[in-house]
Amino acid sequence: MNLALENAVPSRTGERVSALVVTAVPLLFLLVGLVIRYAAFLSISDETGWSPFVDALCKWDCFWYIGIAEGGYEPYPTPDGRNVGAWGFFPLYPTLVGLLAPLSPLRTIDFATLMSLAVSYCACLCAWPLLGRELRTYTLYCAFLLAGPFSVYHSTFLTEPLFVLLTILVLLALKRSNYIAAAGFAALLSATRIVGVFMVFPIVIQMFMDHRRAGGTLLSFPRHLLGRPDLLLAIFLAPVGLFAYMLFLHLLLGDGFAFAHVQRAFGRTMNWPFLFLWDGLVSFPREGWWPTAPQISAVTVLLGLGLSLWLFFGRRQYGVATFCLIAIILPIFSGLASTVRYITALSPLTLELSVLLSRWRVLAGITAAAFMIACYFTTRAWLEAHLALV
Amino acid sequence: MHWYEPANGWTPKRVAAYGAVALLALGELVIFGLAITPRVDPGYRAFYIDRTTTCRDMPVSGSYQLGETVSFFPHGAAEAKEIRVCGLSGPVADGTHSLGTSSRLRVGLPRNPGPLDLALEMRAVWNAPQGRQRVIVSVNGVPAGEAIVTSSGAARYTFAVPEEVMNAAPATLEILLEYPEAVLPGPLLSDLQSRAIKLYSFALLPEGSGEPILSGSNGLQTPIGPAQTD
Repeated sequence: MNLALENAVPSRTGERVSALVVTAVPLLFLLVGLVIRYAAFLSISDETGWSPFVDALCKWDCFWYIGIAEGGYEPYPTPDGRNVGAWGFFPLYPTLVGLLAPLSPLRTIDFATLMSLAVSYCACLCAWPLLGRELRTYTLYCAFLLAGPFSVYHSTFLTEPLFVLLTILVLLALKRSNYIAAAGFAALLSATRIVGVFMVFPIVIQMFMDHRRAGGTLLSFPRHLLGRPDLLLAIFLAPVGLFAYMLFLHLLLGDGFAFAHVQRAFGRTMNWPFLFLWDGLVSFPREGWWPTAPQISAVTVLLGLGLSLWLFFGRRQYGVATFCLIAIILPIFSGLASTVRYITALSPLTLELSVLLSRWRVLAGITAAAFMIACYFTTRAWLEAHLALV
Repeated sequence: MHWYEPANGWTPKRVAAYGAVALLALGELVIFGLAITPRVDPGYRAFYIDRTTTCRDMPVSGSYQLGETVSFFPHGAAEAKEIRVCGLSGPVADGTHSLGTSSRLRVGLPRNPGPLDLALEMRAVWNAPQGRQRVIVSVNGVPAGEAIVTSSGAARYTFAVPEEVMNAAPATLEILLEYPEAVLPGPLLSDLQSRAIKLYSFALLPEGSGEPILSGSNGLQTPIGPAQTD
């Protein structure tokens, strides 16, 4: 069992798994996931067919991404007089869709949906070596990503599919100590979502760990870095996506931090994360027993933090654990909104969860089944605009 | 030995790599420098960066017929749209609600309109502390008065447009309503979501020509009874 930063190990069972199986497993779950989500759609909709299905799945931020893909970013003042601009939504994924969709006969949302599924499928394939080439673990991970409770995020126009794929590619490159490749993917990651820029921490920590393994010390690390132009290049390359977007915003609006400043227009207010967390936990339902959206978000944060700490102390995956801790804590300085989506897109956590839950065959089977049953209900909740899933 | 090892000395590949590092570092430093010195208009800065206002200036025509009463209920939406700048939400069935800690209206003036009274019909939101809200009114940056608006019923409040404003022969009047006691609907929410009043109607009248339910000079006004629309 290993994650990205450990050396490659052979499969636990030692059995050879053919490339056909490795490619077929995620394809199977991709199709199963589609069927489950479509069934959930049919259960609450009078319409049938691909387009109504895809349109129904496109919610909340999806509309912003369609707007960026079709028309780019608006200047200031916004043409329709709104306080909110699309500047808070990072450009890489909508730009890719915006460039490629016109080459097809499809609508933007149709193309983006197919692209999200394809990107998520690729993410599964790339995760194979990170999961120790263990078929059971791999199967569970594919079930989670493509037919699991949060697979709805990977079947519409959101940045999660690309974020997950790029994170996995960074981990894969780090696993092979290929820092330039890791930094290149991290640069793309930092143009996909703001927290992607913090992937620079796992990169630097991995450099330090490699330095330690070679007999180096903390004191000799700066000198080691200065003597290695490839390492320096990786460090400065990793945040390039963010800086490129900041330059674009400066040229468009005169404000390179517009992606952060525009959060005010979304009604976000800054406060201590534990205050938001506590407020969420005690937001009891007024009637019934089902937890409220803030409670679900708060519990997800706690689970995410717990799993990150397990990665840090249990697995000694200091780099990715640091990345996950920052990626969880930083957004909740402005509230619990979207935390479920953010946390379930943190690949180091979901990869580790797959490792833990596939330890026993029975547990893995039950978990995979639970994922697919949950997929139906979370898709329904998403379609009915449950606020915990925003 | 790999190309990047220090033992290689200053090979062209290593020199190029250091050059790329220097370029990236410089580029990122410049972009960071640009980002921490934004070049934006004052309205953008006040709303997004300094957060000193919840009401962002927006271009509206200010089209308005002097003496006309503009309704802020749904049936007057078209007329109201021409003069409402920001800090207002709706209209809905019970008027247009203030949103944030201030609201702004903009009205165009004819030449030499003479002294004017500003008439606002409003009531406080239902959850206002002690059932009341303070509304501070200024016109073109000059204080015009203050009203105590209650949640028990709507009332019409009139304010004389300050003489010094009219002496400057303005083409437009920028009317600012500030709500120092605006209430947030819940904890840990942005001031953008605070509520204070429901605006029912607006009118700009030649001085003394209206029938203000609440009249007075630039002092504190208190309601004396519900308006007809209540």
